[in-house]
Amino acid sequence: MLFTMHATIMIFFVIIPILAGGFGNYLIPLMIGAEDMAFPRLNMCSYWFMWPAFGCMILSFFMPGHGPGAGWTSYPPLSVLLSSAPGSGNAQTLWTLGMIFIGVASMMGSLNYMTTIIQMRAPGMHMFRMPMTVWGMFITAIMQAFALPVLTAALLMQLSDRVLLTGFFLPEAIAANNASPASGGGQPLLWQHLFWFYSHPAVYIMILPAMGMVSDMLSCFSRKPLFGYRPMVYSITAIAGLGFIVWGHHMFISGMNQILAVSFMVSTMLIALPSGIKVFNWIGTMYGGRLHLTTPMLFSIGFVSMFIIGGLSGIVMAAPPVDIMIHDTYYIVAHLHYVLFGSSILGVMGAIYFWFPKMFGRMMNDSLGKLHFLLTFVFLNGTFYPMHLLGAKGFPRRYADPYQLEGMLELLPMNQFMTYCAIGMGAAQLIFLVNFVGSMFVGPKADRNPWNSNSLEWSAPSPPGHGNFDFQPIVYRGPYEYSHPDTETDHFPQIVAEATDMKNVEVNA
Amino acid sequence: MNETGQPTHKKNSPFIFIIVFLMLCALTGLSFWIGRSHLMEDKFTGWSAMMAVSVAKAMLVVLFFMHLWWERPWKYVLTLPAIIMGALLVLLLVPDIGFRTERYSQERNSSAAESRELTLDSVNSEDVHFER
Amino acid sequence: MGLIYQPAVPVSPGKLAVWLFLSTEIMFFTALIGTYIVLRFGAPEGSWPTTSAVRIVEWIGALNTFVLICSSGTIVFAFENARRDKPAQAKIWLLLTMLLGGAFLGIKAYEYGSKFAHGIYPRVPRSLIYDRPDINYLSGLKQNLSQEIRDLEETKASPDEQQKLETLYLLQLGMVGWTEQKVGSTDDPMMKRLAIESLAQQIYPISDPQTDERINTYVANEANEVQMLFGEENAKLKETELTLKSTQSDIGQLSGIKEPNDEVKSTLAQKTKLANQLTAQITALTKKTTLLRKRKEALEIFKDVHGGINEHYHLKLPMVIPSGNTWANTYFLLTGFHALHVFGGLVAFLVLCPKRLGASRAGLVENVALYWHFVDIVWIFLFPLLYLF
Repeated sequence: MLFTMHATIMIFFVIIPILAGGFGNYLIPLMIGAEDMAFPRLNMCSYWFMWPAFGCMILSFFMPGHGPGAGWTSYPPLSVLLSSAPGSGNAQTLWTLGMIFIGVASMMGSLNYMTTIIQMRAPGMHMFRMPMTVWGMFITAIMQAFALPVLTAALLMQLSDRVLLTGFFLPEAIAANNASPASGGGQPLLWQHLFWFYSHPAVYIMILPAMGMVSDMLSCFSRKPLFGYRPMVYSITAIAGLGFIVWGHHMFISGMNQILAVSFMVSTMLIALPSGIKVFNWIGTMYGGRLHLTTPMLFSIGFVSMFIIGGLSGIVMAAPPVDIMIHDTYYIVAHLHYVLFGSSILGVMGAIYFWFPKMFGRMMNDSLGKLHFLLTFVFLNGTFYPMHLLGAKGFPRRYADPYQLEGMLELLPMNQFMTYCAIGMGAAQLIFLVNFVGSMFVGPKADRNPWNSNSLEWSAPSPPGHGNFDFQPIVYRGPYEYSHPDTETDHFPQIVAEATDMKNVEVNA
Repeated sequence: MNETGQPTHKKNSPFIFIIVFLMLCALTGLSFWIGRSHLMEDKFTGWSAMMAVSVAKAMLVVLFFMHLWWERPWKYVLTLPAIIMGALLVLLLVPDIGFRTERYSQERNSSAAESRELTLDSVNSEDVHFER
Repeated sequence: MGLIYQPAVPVSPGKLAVWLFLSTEIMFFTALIGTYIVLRFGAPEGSWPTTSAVRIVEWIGALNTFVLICSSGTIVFAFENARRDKPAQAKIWLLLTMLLGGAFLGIKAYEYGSKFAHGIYPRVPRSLIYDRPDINYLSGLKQNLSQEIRDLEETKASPDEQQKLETLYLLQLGMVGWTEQKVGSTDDPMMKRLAIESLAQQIYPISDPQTDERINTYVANEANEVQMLFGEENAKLKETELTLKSTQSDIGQLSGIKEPNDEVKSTLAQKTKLANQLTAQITALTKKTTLLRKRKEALEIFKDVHGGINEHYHLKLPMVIPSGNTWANTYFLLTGFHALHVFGGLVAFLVLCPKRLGASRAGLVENVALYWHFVDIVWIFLFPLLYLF
């Protein structure tokens, strides 16, 4: 139950809302030169839909079974039969209901993002002059718009299987509690397909915005243009497109059609191409640059390195024979945490350090930040890296007491080591908390552009007041013109028309 | 374009809409007719014909009632991918769910629905005998 | 301050958002319709119910299609009038659209009602529809019937209910009890199947001329057989009763003898034993003949009931519709969510209604109209898929 709630809350209430909800709503208008999102009221609506969802999730903790019984993937028949596990009663129903609310909320949010980005860019802000952050958010919004309705439909069917006792996901010949011998005619695999049709793209929904933000930070602190801006955009789009046709790789041992499995393997391996392009472009951006190792930069570098590990283990698992071996072992846990924690969360942390001055008008403490990074990075690897080894030994996930299995006891010390590291990692976050709250009140005042960055949000006041901009932004170039030969300073903001105007900007700022 | 950004499309007189409306009615009648005609003898032909009629109707509504005929093709940018993605989703569901009966276990098969013809073909109903 | 923007497409943000929203709706309905398609065409071969089996009336569906197309037409004129700044006309067309939308929902409600009346719905705690005529169905039917009877017995019965109770008793013994006995007495699985199938057909016929012919033959043959058996058994009964009578008079005579010798005693004992045997035989035969008589009676009474026993007597007994549950699930899923969307459109119209629908609000009318057309398009696909396939 705790695992389920950990997964659900982390994915649907932490990463997606912070990345898409928080940063998206804040940064998109600022970065494209709009005074607000296209539909503020829709945004409000979307926000208020989050609370019933969250309420449902919390309530399900207090129902019999203390949380939903079927895991965050909610596979039938476990999730459909009403008394198959302690948490299969109201707790599961509330979970389903909460997920439906989130689906609606995210759908409204993504409509808002797409409309804002398409229609409300400042004059001169072509699609190919948008910062990677905005691109990441845009593609994310499109993915949400396409994938979420499918999950919502599937959840509604599951809810009706539970409440109206229909049988979309129930096979014949199940004779247990609410399934009479007469029910059935459905197929559990249908749920898996529909679920992963959303939940695989959800992985990219969780990482694409972070990728965008990291691209911005890397370019800014390397004082170099982003290496291959257009390939970066195309590779994001390709990841999104391919991301829709790889969902089957979560189902290799579900008894799915083998030809289908092979085609999913091929598309999964293909997705390594655009991901590889991105990694090499990030490295290319840093190569030969004048690196400023500020806290956000450290987190960005951490992101890239963790993403390489997470990505490589992903390719390993893409092949069905390998996946069948390591399915439901700690190898999978390692992979997903390297991608979600190692990459997404590190990216988010970096982004918070980076945009904090814009949000609150004060800088965060750099030394504390570096300490935070160091501890997080070390403990993160200490926690998740051994999982690869454990997984390769066959250590299963989701077991209450795996040591009852033969040969697992010798792995106990490694598990203990991981536990200490995890505690350390949690403790390290306290530093961040202190730094964040403290800096809100006592941090040194930040001016408009503390990092000497180019993109549009750094031309607005810090913090930006109502309406975001105190002037009409007009955009003359892309966001990555660092160390431009025509300028004396090493940055060349998007709003400045000519190199000779740079002096005036400095004075005004 | 006028100042509100709405396309002015002066050419669309009410007659166009009335003609489209009549065509839609006629097509509805046509698909109803197909359902009872000899085309349904071969199920596949009948289904294809009906789906073709439905696509034609949908196109009429989209092009004229939804004004796509008079507007630039920007709207395809998202609706077309959605349609392609949807088709792909359904297509990829076919092997696992569409052909699910091919891999039914004995037990599952014995409680699955079955064709009545199959049941009754194998017995002669005139051959009724009772244990005395 | 108002900022200037550089929109990528020449429409208002609202209209763009509506089109994007429609894209998400395409995905939503794709998931639903896709589910229907794979479940339906993947159902065990030949088992999907025909429209008449699930009491679908094609022309009502066609009428609903017509109503929705009309409403699509009227909302176009509402927009055209709003665009030309004729608020009064626009409002009339809008009201007309609302009326048609309401009519669609009304017809839908009528259709749902007629399904519910037959007991076709995903039901709590369990469905009345069974996929195949097997022993599960028979036991489900038996349980349902005895529950019904218990409920009726408990209430103070009006003459009408008394009548119904009689029917139920007859069903219990002459139909279900008989079938049970027959299924128990034969080893031929096909015979069992046929017996239950004919029972199911009499309760809820799935009009299918070819198979019905067979069921009818089966039932007619069975009626002859029952008639014959009843005659035989009845004769046997009469005969046994006569023997018993004579035995009993013998016993009377013998027991009348004073000071019986051993021979008389043993004869008496033999006769008494015989009498007991005969009584037992008579009990068994009476039971058999009662069952046969009830069967005969049931066959005569339920022979030509119009539309099946369920419909004729307004009963909701379990029925056999192969793949009927899957059909009901998908049918109510698709039409239900479509109806919800229609309802959403009506709410949007209701919000628009009190406003002045001049040129300044033409964009708003157009946005709602776009959504309404989409709902229409969904129905354009649902109609053949659900009613004509």
